[in-house]
Amino acid sequence: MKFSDEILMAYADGELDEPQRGAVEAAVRADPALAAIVDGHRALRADVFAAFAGVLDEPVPPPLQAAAAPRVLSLDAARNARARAPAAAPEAATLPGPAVAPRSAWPQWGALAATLVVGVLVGSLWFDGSGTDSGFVSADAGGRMLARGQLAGALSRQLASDPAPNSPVRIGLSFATRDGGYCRSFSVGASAGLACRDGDAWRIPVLSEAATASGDYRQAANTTPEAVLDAIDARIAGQAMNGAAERAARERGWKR
Amino acid sequence: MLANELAALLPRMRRFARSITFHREDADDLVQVAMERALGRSEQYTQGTRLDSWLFRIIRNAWIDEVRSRIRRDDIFAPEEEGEHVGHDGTEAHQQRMAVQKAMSLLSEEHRIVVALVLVDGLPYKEAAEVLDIPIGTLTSRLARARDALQKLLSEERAVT
Repeated sequence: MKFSDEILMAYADGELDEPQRGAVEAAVRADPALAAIVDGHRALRADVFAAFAGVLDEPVPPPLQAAAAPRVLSLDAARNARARAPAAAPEAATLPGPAVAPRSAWPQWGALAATLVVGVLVGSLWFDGSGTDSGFVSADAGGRMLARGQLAGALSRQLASDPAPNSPVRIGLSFATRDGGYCRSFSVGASAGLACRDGDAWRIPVLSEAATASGDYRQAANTTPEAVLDAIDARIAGQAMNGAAERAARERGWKR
Repeated sequence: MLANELAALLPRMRRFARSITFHREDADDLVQVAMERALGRSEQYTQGTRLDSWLFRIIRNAWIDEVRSRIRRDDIFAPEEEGEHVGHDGTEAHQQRMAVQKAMSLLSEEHRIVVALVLVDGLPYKEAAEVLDIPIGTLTSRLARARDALQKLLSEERAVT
């Protein structure tokens, strides 16, 4: 029986249904020339697959991860979405929708987000008043949160573009702020926050529980909480930094 | 939640984009654009249908738009010398991967996309045909021609080296 190359290809790809599959199988067993054609299709497929398989193991760049999250898919789009849906802003009911300059509403939202944070600051892991090394956060004289210990170290040294597998801290994105500084989003365990360089310290205006909709820890780590996104949105100037810009900022000690 | 599902598909979408664009930056830009389109048009996604197929279609359309606009701008498509960035290890397997990537870059756009869908991602013919919006018979013959072309390019490369 004669089979076209297309049929042999479909057989090699496992695309044939019975009874055709059985017929081809019998023919291939009986005819080494047919077997060679099928092997050729399979070998090419394996080679092509192998040529790109490595991409799956690469860490997904943070800007792309952010792109898959609707709130940061693009900050401009987020702004536009907010401008279209002013109901999300508590004070917006009194303001005409399209006439609102969206930027003007954000500092208030940021402040709102910052107040939410106090409520989630729980657990000795996060807030350590005893002066031991176990905490990630301390408060200064004014009651503002500062990063300490491993968190402070990671914020100063870790790059979002180059995740440190042994660090408990994951850096999300880094960006230059409108008031001339740097901020970086981060997550530790089930918490996520934003840290902004303040002198030689990292001040933490927002700390929140990471979204755990799925209950899956690893997925949760990829989901930046709303409060943090709002805080980023309120501060970011331009785009998130790429790997090279991060590295340069780190060299300068996160000073501009 | 759509965003979580999209995030889970990112590695596959990056691989697809890499196999049709050949530049890491082009590929990631393409996925980024596609994610924005997907989320911007999430109402067009039909629950219960394959999200991966929908995304492949968006990526493919975005890439074709990009190719057309580059042709209009006379941008040159030069495949990267080192298509692979994971480091040069000089092994035979590495050489083989590079040879395949180079051969892929020389295929026509149409052939490259069908190879990327079926051989790189492993989509069944039926799904690949839906992504491309063509009958399954057309998909099959296009795939057969693309494989022929790829095999010829690889043989030529081997003959040279």
